[in-house]
Amino acid sequence: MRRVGAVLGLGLVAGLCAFFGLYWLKTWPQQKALQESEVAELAWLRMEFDLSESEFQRISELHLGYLPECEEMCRRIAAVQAKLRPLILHSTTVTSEIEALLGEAADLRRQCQVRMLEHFYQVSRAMPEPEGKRYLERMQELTLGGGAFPHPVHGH
Amino acid sequence: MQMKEADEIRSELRRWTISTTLPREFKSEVWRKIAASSRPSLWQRFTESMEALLHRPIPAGAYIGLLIALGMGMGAWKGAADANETRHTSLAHYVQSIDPYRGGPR
Repeated sequence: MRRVGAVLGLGLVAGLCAFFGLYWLKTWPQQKALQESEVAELAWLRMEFDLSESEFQRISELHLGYLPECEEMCRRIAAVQAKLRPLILHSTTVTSEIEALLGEAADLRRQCQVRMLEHFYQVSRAMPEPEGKRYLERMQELTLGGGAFPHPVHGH
Repeated sequence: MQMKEADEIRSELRRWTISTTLPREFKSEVWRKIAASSRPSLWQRFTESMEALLHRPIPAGAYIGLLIALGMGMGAWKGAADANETRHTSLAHYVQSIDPYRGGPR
């Protein structure tokens, strides 16, 4: 009976070790990328692309340099939308003011897309060529191409 | 005195006859109950057969190997699912941080 208990116990312990071992092997690269990324949102780049430390540093610098511009664009978008929303809701026809604001919003969108695309090119150039191409394809698909997002994201 | 009482009881018992007849299946029923009580339960039979099986090296090794394979399979599956989830969440955070129309920097 003792031998049977030992076999049963050994089997369970070995099975659990196998489970956690494989689980760790599969999730460790992602956990490592998350821990090593000083800028949290850049962890994905570490997970997805084969980047050297210097390439990652350069991309981090580009990213941090782009963020204030992106913030400014966000502020301008929010301002236009704040002006546009009550006008649309309190009107029954397209007034010249609405038309002007829609034009401003479209122009703003174009500026945002141009600046975003410039940033994508800069980042892709900081990567090894095949990785940079893959990065561009992914970003085009998710942002400029209006592709479906892998997860629902709640913006501010 | 006690001997006399015992003799009386003995003679009384000798005279005592049972007039009631037993049902026809009485004997077989008694044997059936004896057999049922001495038969091991399903659980007993299972544990006994498991004991017998795990005493032999090959089935014991196969059991341990099976649990290892099961653990590896489930670990790989769960790990891949969680890693994928982390990748997608990280991608969402990245895109959200650079696209003003998806939320912009936080």
